[in-house]
Amino acid sequence: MYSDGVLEHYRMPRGRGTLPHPDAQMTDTNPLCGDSITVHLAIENGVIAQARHQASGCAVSQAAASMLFERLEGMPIADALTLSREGVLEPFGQISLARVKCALLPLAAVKKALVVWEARHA
Amino acid sequence: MIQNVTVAQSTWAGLPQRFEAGTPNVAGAVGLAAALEYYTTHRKEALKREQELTLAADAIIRRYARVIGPAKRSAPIISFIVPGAHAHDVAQLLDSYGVCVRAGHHCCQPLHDALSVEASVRVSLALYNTNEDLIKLEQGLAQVRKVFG
Repeated sequence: MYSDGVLEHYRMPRGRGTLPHPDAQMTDTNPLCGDSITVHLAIENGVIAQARHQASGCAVSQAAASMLFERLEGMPIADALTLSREGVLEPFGQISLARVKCALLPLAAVKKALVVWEARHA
Repeated sequence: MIQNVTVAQSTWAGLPQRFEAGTPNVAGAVGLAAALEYYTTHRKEALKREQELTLAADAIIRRYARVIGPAKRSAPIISFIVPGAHAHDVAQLLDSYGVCVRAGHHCCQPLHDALSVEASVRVSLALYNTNEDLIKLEQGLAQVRKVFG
C-alpha cells in the first residue's frame, strides 16, 4: 500500500495551495480519523481551469489528493464528476477496507464542490 | 419490556425491565464472571506481568515516539504520537507486523485539541501478551521510522 510512488506523492504533493477567488470550493472530512481536505477550483467554459487543495491527515488521503490534483486541470466538469473509485484506488494496490475512505476523500470533496457549482449555475 | 401490546397502544413493564429488550447478554455475563474469577485467582502474577509489560512497552515506544500521558503509569495502555507519521499510517504498518492498535482521537477530540494533536495511536496490553508481541511492536515502529522518517 505504501509503494514508492504513493510515498512520493505524500512527500511532494502536487496541487497544494489555495486560489484567491475560487469558483467552486468544498471542505470535507473523515470524522472517524481526522483526515480533512479543502479544495479550490477555478472553472472556465465547463472546464476545471485551476485546482488547488489543502489536505491534512494520513499519508493515504494526502497521496490520493496529490494524484487526483495532478490531472484535474484541463478536465471537463462532466469528466471529473464521473471519475471512478477504481481509478483512485488502483495506485494503492491492496488497500485495506478501513483506508478506502481515506483514499476517496479528495475525489468526494471535488465532486461535492462541482455539484454545488452546477446547482448554482443551472 | 412490555406489559401488554395491541395494535392501538402498548403498556410497559416496570423499571428496569421496561428498558431491557430481548435476550440478555448471558454469554457476556458468564464470560465476565469467568474472567474475574481467573484474574482474582492469579491476581499477584497478573499485576506483576502487567507491570513488566508497562515498563517494557513504555521503553520501546519512547525510542520511536512521543508518549502522551504520565511518565509513571499503572496499566499497560499507552498512547503515543510518531513525529512525521499520521496515526492511521502507523496503525496500518503495525498491522502488517501482526500488532493491532487503535488510532484516531479515541472519542476524546477536546483532549487532542488541547494537546494540539490531530490523532494518536494507542497500545493496550494485557497479562496474556508475550515478549514476542513486544518484539513485533518494536519491529513495526522501526519500520514506521524507516518509511516515514
